[in-house]
Amino acid sequence: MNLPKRVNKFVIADPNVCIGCATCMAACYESSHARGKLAVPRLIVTRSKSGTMPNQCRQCDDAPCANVCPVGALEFSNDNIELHEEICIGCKMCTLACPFGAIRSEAEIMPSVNYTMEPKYNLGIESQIGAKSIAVKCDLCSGREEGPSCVEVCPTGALLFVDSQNINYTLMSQKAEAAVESFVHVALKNI
Amino acid sequence: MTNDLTEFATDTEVLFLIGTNTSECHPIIAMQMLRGIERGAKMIVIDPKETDMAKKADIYIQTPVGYNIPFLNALINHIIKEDLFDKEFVEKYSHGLEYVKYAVADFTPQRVEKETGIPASKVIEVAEMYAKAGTAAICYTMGMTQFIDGTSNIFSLSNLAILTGNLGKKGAGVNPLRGQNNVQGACDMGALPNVTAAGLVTDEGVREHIKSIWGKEISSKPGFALTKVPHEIEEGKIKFLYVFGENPVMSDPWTEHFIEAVEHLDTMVVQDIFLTETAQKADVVLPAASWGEKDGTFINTSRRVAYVSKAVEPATGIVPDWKVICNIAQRIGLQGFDYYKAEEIWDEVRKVNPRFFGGLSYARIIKENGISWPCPDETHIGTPVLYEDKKSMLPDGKFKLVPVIYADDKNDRTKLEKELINHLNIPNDYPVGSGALSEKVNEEYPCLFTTGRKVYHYHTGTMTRECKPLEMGADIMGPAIEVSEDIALARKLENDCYAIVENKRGKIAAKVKINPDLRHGTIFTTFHYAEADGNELSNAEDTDPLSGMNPLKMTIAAIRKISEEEFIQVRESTDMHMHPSEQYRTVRR
Repeated sequence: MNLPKRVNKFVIADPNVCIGCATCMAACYESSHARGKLAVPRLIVTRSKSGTMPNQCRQCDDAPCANVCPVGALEFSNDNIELHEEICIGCKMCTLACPFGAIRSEAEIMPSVNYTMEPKYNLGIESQIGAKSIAVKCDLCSGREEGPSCVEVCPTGALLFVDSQNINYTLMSQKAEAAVESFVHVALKNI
Repeated sequence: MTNDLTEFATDTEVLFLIGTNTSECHPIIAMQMLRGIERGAKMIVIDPKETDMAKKADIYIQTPVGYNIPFLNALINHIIKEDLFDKEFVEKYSHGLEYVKYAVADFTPQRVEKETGIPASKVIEVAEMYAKAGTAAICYTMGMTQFIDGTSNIFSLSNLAILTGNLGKKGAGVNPLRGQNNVQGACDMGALPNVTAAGLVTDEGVREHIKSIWGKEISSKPGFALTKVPHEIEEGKIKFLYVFGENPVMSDPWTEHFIEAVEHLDTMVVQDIFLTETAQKADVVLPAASWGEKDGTFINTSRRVAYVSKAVEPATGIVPDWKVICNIAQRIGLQGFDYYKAEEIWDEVRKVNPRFFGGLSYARIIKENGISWPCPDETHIGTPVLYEDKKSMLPDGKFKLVPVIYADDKNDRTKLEKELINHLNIPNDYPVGSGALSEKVNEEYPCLFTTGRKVYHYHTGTMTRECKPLEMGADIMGPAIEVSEDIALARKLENDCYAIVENKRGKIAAKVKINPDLRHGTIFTTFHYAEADGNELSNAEDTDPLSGMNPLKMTIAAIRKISEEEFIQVRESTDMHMHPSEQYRTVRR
């Protein structure tokens, strides 16, 4: 039997190379805006005690967010988890389910509001002023020919676009080879 | 910088970063540093904030804000005591070793441990790593200079470099990382109160040389330091202020005082590309072309003169800054402002300072994609590494080791300096440095308050806050008051609650972010946001005796939690004085 194999693509950063410059976030905003999606960054440069890197959706193959979505706005698509913004009801179940903190509820800010006076960044949760808040997550810049824009702009090359080809062949087998090599090296000497 | 920034990637063995948040403020330079680390370079970071670079460092030391001279003196003390200094370099190319030896005698690593809790063994480790490296580069920024002992801080750094012979070789040097693309250029052009593009105004030879080119006598009296301007306006000595490419309402310390001072002016003219907070208070606002709309040269942090050509035409009627100034000069009736293009001005610069720029024609700069000064003639290849001949720029060609002492009370500095001069019989024209804290925490204001930058915004946000991808994309935090964990704990502050920070000069209100990277007892905020500008609290009264710099990086403050209503009240009053005219209050920001 030949079952169709589905391995999602995803974007991931290397914290050793990332300098936390947030160019990816600016590019993400620009790409979302240009593609008519909610104009907010979908990856967040996260500064932790041990280091800094952007955090974004891992496009899990058995994604908890898509499993928990009550209206089917998050869909198991061909090679990623697709979010249909127009269906989302902003229930935030996906935020609770996501193990990576990579999906959140946001609303686009409105030009008529003076955000220096309004508590600017809680509108994603409270929607006090009427903007509908919906889930946002990395969509791998779907519709953009050149692929994810964050990967393209990263000045240090810290962001990596991983697809099903190189996850198995490049990333995994390289590490496996290195592990086997070092094990053989030790084993030959000592066992 | 004495060296070129690309050398961090290729040649430096030890990077010594002090008072710089390189990855946030100079991402491109940080990139070169990371390449160096990948190559095997070691990195030492010294800062009150555990920055991203600190997390990547081999040794990180968290000093209190302003505690630089005792720390650097302790390093020098250990280097001298353990004979780790470069005897040949010190003997042949410098003088003043005995002065420095005396000045640092009391500053042992153990003293640092006693005063700050930083283990003496760590101080020794830093001293040894730096001194034993083949090529070690010191990098610093405003975390060293913006104090009342800023100049003395830099004396200490140059002492370190001279003692260890880290000058005049690739990958070493003393490297101030410049904060703007052309700040080096602005200084080179004489945009300082006491210099022209050719040298000091007090130097008769310089004035003669300028006269031979401009045909006019120039004043031998240095002008006012920028930090003195508000004071001089109040005294009635300055009646006309012409500001361009700057937003001093937000970038100068003690905002309230500055705003009050400019009210006394007869006329204020602001020339900018956006209607900044300063422009909103001006009598006349002149528009100008932005950097992508004009031709010219920039001189970057590595002293490299690079050509920039315009990418787009400016809007009709908008001309570059130099042309606006020339137009005004011509209306006044001044001679010699009839340039046709930027290249003519540059050629005049080359005539005024042939020692640095003589060989840098536009054709050459464009062909070679930037050349570092000094480049005296057309055959010279430029000087990415200064002092390769081990000769300083001083008249006798030797480097000076400057004794730097430390006073517990800032008022004792001159007295202690005099005592040192008398005790060691130091000649009159020999520089002597001293340090002290501008303010000490007390019961009323128990926290140290420091300012800095965020990676996504630039200075007062004049340009970056107009850029949607940066303002809405990269900056999802907005203005925030960052506090150390102990401050938050003691005052029951939690993330995202509102707080007010105040001292005798002003107050700001913003959301709280607890930042475990900060040293205990420290509050950090930025000066990017008009709605919560850290400079409202900055110290404008104390200055560095040599440079006139204010201690922008250090003051004291108190912080407390406030309700949302109070927060909005404070915000509204801040907005009122930042944007006095109703019509701009909601247009901008």
